[in-house]
Amino acid sequence: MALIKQNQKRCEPQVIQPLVNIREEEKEVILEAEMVGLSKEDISLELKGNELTLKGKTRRSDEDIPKGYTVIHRERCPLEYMRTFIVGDDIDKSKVDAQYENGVLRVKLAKSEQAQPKKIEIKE
Amino acid sequence: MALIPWRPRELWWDPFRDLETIQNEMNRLFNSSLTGWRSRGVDLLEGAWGPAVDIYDSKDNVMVRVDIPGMKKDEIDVSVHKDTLIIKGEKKQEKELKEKDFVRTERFYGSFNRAIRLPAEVQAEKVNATYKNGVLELVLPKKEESKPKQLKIDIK
Repeated sequence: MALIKQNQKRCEPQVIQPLVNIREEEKEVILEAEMVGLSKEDISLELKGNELTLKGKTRRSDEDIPKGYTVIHRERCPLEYMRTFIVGDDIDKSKVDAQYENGVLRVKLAKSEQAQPKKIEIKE
Repeated sequence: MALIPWRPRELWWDPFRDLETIQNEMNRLFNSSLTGWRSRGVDLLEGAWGPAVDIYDSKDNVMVRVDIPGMKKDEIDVSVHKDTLIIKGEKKQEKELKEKDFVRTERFYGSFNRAIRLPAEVQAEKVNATYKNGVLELVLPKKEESKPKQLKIDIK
């Protein structure tokens, strides 16, 4: 959601960074990226070394117009999303979970064993 | 911090990169506000923040698509009166989340409200609405009297 755009007479192809929320919980880090109007097949999530890259691509502007309709007003131009994050050492890179729901990609990164807070027992 | 946004190494030492970004943003802002912000077919009732909207027209229907990611169906409110469509909603946080748990927040939370003037009067009771992948799609059948009519004009 953003400042309302002008009527886009012609959509220019654009690559933007999706807006994200990142929160840290006890056992995992949760990243939520807004990438609207994609299907699962259009999204790619890659972890290479310590770089996590999110990519998403919508269909071209001509294909997006519904059959039999003409455009009266257009603000939603098809976008390409891309954003990269550096993943710290406290993340267990083998345990990454991703889910795409209602236009939001939710990535759960489990913290590695050492990074989780441990309770220390106090003995008498 | 477990995750930090990444910047390519070659750009770390470029102090002008941010200035360029600011210049581009200012250009865009001036371009969009000087061309007049009331375009045909769209009226704004409240504020200038809201979801992006596309309006399409066919002989029998008006179709509207709205980008509202991360909502639940019952958080979105759609109402129609004659030729005005009103879309309201409130994006609530999923559960009780403490502020300190957030490392980064860019996503918008809160309420939005947008009134859209449609190209024709529509039948409110026959509107079909679906919400998929963050896109709200509405198909609004036009009222019979609002459909384009072809009149043969006799030239005498």
